[in-house]
Amino acid sequence: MKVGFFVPCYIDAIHPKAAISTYELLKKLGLDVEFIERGACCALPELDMGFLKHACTLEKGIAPLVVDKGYDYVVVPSGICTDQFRSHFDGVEQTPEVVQFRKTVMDPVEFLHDVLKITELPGKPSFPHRVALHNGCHSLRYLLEARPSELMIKPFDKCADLLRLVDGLEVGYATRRDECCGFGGTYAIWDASCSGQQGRDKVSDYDRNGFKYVTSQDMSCMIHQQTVARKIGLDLKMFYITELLNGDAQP
Amino acid sequence: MNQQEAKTEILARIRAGKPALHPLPDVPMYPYPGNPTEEFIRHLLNFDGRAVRFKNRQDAIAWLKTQPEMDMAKMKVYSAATDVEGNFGEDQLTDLHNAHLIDTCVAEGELGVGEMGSIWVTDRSLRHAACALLSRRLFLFLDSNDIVGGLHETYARIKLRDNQYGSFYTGPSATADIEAVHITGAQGPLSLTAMVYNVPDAPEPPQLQVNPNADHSVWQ
Amino acid sequence: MRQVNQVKLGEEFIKSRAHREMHDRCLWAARMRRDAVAASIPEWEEMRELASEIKLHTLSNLDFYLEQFTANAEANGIHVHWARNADEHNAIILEIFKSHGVKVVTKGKSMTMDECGMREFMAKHGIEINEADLGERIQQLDNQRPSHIVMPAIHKLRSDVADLFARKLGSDRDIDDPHYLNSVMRADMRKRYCQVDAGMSGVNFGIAETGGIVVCTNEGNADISANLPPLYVATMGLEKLIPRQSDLPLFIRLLSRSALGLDMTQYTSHYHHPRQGQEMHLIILDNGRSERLSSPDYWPVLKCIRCGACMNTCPVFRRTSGISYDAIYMGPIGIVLEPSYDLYKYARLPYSCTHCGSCGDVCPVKVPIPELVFYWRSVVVDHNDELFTHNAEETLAEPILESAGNLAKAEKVGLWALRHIPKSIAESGLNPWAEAHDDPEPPEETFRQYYNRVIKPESDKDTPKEQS
Repeated sequence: MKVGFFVPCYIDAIHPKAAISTYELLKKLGLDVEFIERGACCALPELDMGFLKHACTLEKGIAPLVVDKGYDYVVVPSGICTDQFRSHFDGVEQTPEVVQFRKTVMDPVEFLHDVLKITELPGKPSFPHRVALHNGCHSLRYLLEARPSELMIKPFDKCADLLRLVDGLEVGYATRRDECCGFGGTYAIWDASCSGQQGRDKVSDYDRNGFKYVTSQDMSCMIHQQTVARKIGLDLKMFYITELLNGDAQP
Repeated sequence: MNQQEAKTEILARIRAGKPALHPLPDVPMYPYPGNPTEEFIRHLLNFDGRAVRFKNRQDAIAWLKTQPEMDMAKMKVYSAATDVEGNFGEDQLTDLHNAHLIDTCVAEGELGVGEMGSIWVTDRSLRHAACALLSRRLFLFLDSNDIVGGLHETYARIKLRDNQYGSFYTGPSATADIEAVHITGAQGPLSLTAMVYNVPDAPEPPQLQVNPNADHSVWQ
Repeated sequence: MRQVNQVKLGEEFIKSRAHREMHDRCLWAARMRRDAVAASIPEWEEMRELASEIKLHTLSNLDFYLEQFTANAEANGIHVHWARNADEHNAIILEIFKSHGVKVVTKGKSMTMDECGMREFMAKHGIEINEADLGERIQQLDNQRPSHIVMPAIHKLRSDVADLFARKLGSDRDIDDPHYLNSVMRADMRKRYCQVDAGMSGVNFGIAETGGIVVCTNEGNADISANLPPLYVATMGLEKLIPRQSDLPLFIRLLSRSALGLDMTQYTSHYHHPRQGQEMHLIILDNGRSERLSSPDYWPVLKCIRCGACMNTCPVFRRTSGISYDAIYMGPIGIVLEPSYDLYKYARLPYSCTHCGSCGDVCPVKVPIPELVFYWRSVVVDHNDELFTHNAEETLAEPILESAGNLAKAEKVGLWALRHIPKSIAESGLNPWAEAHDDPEPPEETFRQYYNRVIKPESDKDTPKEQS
């Protein structure tokens, strides 16, 4: 199985560990992983602000890197960027190959849970701690990786399923388990005051529940929450989910 | 102002711009599980309504007469119910604004809804809705045979168009507009009591059922 | 005209901790109650889908249903009027009031009348309109718009209300018990029910098949307004129709559960004829609705049944309050509705959203609010010449580009800044991000650098081996 590995700009620059852990985990699982070297911005920030023309230009630049390159899947270690490709990649002509790309582009959680259907992790990682799971909003409500609390459907949680494969790890949640943490991409800059308040409320919620560690399939939420927590002096450590799944997370 | 012109123009704009026709699905008659009378009382109490069960209507009337709200020496009582006499008559209602003088209003409920604890009342069963709305205490008779489980079924039994006014009353008037604190008696009645009769296993003597956590205002 | 800056107004509310925490707590509690009651209905998701489909159908055949509704309503003895816009709406009602010598009116809550500025208009013509809903009345006395479509004064602390009532109704300023405050209001309103010339209300649903209207309240204020005086005037946005009586229970079952987490509104009332000796008038209002219907991307917004569930769940709304939107409609539905009334004034509203998607999932009729937010942002960018004094892309991107901590552009400027800009500058006013956030810890190397240092040499080593 050939997997294209697309590393979003912010992961590359701010939390490359998320990409490294994901890459190594995929390699350990015996996959043929190819880093898409020229891939960078998925056009989400532009689309997010309404700059459709810019987004379109970026998408046209990305398409040749990911479409029809012989990849069975393209894995993107970021829920928001995966959703951008899957739900909004409309700036390019929707050829069968583009449609195929949009169907097979995944974040690591979907790929491990739904495609590989893994039941054990290579190297038997262990993390004997309580960890709060934050399902990022895009992964939760647009990629439907867990039951959003608003929907009256059968409960499921793909991240929690995967995290339970880590030895000793106890999955927990904030009291407001899936309220938005306020990152929202460009929103965090556009409305820093409300974004900051949402972030403070979120990390205080973990703190009240006695959590020391937090994880998510969306590193953008984690970076936001981590820096907010540090600002108000809360002792919380945030990981990208594959850091735990690959045994890279250090307490 | 030319009304016809406005109507014609609005409809023309809609015709010109409306989207392609979407199909109209049918709405299933979703049932509501459980014993309708029990569900009705449970939900009514949740809305801070009060309920009493009786074996028959005579028992209900007898109980009602013993209530302090029916003390004719002290209270102005308006009754739209058959077999119950009030002391506030039609002659005092030639101006409906006088309804605000009424202490106690008694009337018939036509249907009960198990799913919500609602009572269907109409301009016929209330005679003057203003009396039910402006009185301080509202008592409604309800035959347990007229309590339906779900709301879909309830609507199926009603011909809306036959009534000038028809309403589901679900507990007394309430508000939560100040810091979401639940308060009964916002504008209308401070209490609503459902007198449910034809309940074979009704306790003897009749027992007034209330929500133990109900809002009992000290200020009203 | 001034452009509304929700971010700035919201910041003021955020800074008042007591207000913010009370507001957030009350609305989140409503959302939690909604979850609990929705979970008790096994067919909940099926009902949402059906309700959405019925609304889509009705809107796609709206001319037919409006005519059917009108014919039936008129046959029922209701006077039906048509208003193309707010001015016509107000003029029609004024004419009715004048011909009946109306001086004093009690009114149930109506967002549609608020949309028309009806009360202010009548005040100019010497007609006194008293809001009968407690929250709406509080806002009227305070000369402020409702901050929530279902709970109009939910942004006020009890002490704010005590203070207001002391000034306006002569109550005891030191008693802020909501029960006492309610009784002050009750006493004041009931005095007014002694003489009312006309009653008014909005409309939750119009039933085409029966020609009647449905009005839902918890206080019974609309019922008193309709059942007491000899004249009753209601206003209905033309999108409020449903085809059949059998469709109604579906919407009633969804409405109050979504709005407040209650199984029912305490007064769920149906009006099909005027009372004996009463005149009943209904104004059908367009005010931009027919135009919205013709927009292929935007028309599903007309499905909205005004329950307010999107506001209760919105993380931004709960922390900034409806007042910060400075608009008739606020919160998620507000940010996609208001630009259609005034694109310039409300051009910034669609950006008051984190795209968390909760509003779309909580909506009982599946209004695709998150998609509509994208839609409006692209419209705003498209209209940059009219909306902004200079290029909209620059205007909107300015705070983004200014920020050294910006994640989206991090690859270009962020990483460099993290390493090179001293903290004192990074945290100056230029960088909004820094107010709430510490800087991310800059990594030793990017993934690209790691790839070139570690992965690539490894795989280059591997490749010839395999070939040999």
